[in-house]
Amino acid sequence: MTHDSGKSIVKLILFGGITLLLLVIASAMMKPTKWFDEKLIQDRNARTVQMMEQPDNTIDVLNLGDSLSTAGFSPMELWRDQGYTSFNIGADGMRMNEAYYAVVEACEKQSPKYLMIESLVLFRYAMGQDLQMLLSQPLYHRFAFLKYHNIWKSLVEEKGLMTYYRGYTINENVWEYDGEEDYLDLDINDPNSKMSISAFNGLIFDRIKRFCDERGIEIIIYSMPSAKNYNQVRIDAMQSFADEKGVTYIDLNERSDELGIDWDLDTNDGGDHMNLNGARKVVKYFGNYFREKLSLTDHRGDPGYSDWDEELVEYDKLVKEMDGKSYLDIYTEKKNKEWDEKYKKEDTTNNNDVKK
Amino acid sequence: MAIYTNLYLLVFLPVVLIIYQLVPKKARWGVLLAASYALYISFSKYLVLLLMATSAFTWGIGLWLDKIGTECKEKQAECTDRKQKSEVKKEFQKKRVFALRVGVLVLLGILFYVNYLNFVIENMNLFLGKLGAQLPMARVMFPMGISFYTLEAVGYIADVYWERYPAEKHLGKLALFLSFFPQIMEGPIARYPDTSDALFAGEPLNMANLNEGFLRIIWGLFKKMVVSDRLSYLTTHLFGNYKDYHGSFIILAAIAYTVQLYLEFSGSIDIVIGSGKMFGVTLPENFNQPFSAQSAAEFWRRWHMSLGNWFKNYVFYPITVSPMVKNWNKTARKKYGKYWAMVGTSAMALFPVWVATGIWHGAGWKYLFYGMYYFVILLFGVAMEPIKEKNYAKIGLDPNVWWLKTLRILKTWVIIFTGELFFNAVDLKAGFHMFFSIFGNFHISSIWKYWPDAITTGDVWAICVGSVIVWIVGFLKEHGVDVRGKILNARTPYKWSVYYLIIFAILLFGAYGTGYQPVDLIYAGF
Repeated sequence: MTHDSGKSIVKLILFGGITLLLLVIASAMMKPTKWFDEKLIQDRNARTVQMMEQPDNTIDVLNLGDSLSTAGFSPMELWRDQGYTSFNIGADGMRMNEAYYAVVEACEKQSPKYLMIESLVLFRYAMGQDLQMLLSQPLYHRFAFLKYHNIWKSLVEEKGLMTYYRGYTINENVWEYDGEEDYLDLDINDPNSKMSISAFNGLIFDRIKRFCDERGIEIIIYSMPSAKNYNQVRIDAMQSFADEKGVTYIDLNERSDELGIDWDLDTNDGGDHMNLNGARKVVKYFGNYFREKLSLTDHRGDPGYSDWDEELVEYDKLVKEMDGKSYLDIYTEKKNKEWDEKYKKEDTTNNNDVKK
Repeated sequence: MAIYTNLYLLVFLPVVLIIYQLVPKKARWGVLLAASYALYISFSKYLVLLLMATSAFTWGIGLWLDKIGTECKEKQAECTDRKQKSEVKKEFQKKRVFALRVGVLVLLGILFYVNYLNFVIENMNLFLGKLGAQLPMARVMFPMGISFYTLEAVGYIADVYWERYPAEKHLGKLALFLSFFPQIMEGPIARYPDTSDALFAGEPLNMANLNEGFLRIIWGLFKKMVVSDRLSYLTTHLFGNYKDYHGSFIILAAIAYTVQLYLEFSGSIDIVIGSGKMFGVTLPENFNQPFSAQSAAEFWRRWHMSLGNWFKNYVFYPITVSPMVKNWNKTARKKYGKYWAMVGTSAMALFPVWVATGIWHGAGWKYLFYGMYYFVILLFGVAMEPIKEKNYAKIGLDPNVWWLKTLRILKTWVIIFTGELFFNAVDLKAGFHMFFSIFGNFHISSIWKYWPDAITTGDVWAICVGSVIVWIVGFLKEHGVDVRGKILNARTPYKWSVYYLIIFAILLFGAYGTGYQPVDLIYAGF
């Protein structure tokens, strides 16, 4: 090695080292709850941040998955019904790489007994995107600066309207499913997910399972009632996967009569996601399931969990206020009102032209 | 694995750099070729075989042309008089033309099959449908970068035919030229002597090249991730819902898309050139402050320069010096005068260039219209040039006075924005719909009144500040201040401070993270 090339290598190492140091410092500053209000985070990380805020070892059940899981499971309802504590740590369009780190982060301060995984996350796979995430997710996990880099937007933008109740956002909108009654016999044409579980997702699932086994967390895979996302092919694929991995699988689609799912009233977007009505039925089912297993403690009346009672009051208040609407409805109404007030004069002169 | 992804930037490129440096000098070209094919396979899987076959075919045609040339010289050496020599030359010239035609037709034939066959079938079916018949659509897979490497291959064959340089004997060297991994997705379209020697030389990595390449890459990422990707949310929404918008929103859509396209394309070319530079390969520049252009013609000399140069070298010049055009020029001069002969000759050479430029971008009437739009504007410019000069002289106006320059730049912007409006419209009909809706119900206030949710106040801030920074750097370069050179020549602490500033600006203000849909490179689809 020449003197020059040795010098170059030292320079490269030094540059990389300083970059790493700066990232560590910036990440320490960016860590929510330390330097800034965690409410500034309104994007998909909002749930993770609120999870980190929960008092140590107070969550019994973690609910993981994509939007099917977060829309169809309300932890406040489980608290009301059974006194069990739960938290939705999923996110819209979640993929397995992100799911793994959501579990790891949630378990930093919690020792849950159950990890419920909504099964659609296991069907989501696109090689390019998932390989990218294999690299980026550990970086986001290690460096808060990268994960929460969008926080600056909250400083220049109006704060979001959504309120998260242990990871659940209320959606009372009703939009009935008007397709075939026997949707399990239909084909699914979804560009975002596959009909079988990729080996890649299987490997990440194994990683999650190892992590849970080490901590004594029992995994339950379940399929949320969803006329748009499930058919017999997927359910069978999921059953074989669960059998192979030795975990419990509960399909709520085949049990939708038992749950009392009414496809005219319990979905907010034509059979894709559950609304609050549907979520209540799903929670009721799981509440009974956990009660029968006698493995969870009813924390109602325990002073250490009084914040759940306080939040339930707020939750019920908002449920009443939302009066059958979704956040999108409320947002649209708010915008329309603002425009009406601001441009009342102009609108009258423009003859209410609908075009923009 | 696109060149702007973390997989490419944090894993692929560093690994290739390390392996390249570790292997002996003679084997380094092999590392680059293997890396190029590996990257290609990540996009187009088994279609890498087509790229390999194209390379072998191009190499074979080159050798064939060379062989004919050598045989011709040998035969001529045996000739005793000039007449015989000339006859031998004629005989071999026919063979050379045949070889050239085979080469060009096969390469363009593959490009036609992949890019245009279904477009032709679709349009034929419009007529056949009336007769109750329908042709089935072809099942075609799109090999990444085919429009770029095909032009490079055709250019190579043409240059060998014109004896600008001898045919390459080494298949690997030519294969590397056609597939070099940074440029396979979006160009720039290089000529063989531009890069072949540097690609094959296997020079060791050095700090000067690494520094230059690194700065270029992070600057490209800044353009793409901070500005362009954020703009794409707005343009996708506006162009996708064009019927809901008109007036000021359509103008905004056209401007936003032009800025997005420029920063995305020039940003990714920065990453390409930067990647090449790290290996000591200087790739041709593709942009030179295109928004400082004072005419549409000048714009095309500053925008996608490698494509413009290719058409100039391999379409425009050959047509201009072809016997048909020369004869027409001669006759027209006598019949219609010098001015109309010049206009006619320009039209004859410009028309095929702009038809080709239009359809090179894709199979669709809107792309053909885009080409014709510039053909008409450029031809009008050619026709008006002598008249303008006369008028300036008549009224005693200096055409280089600042306000006239500014007016010309603004006029060019209007031409560019209008062109890009059609270019990015869903189809030609939508393009016209959008264009005419500019003139209806124009209210500037509707911009903030009906601002789409697709783009937030934070995004607007990032876009505006990012664009201003890019504009300042471009403005300084246009006025002779080489910011990049100054940074690279600065002392290490200053240089590194700039690096960190750019890196952390990208990490803080860039559009990335879980939940962000990565924005694909626009030109990678052509």
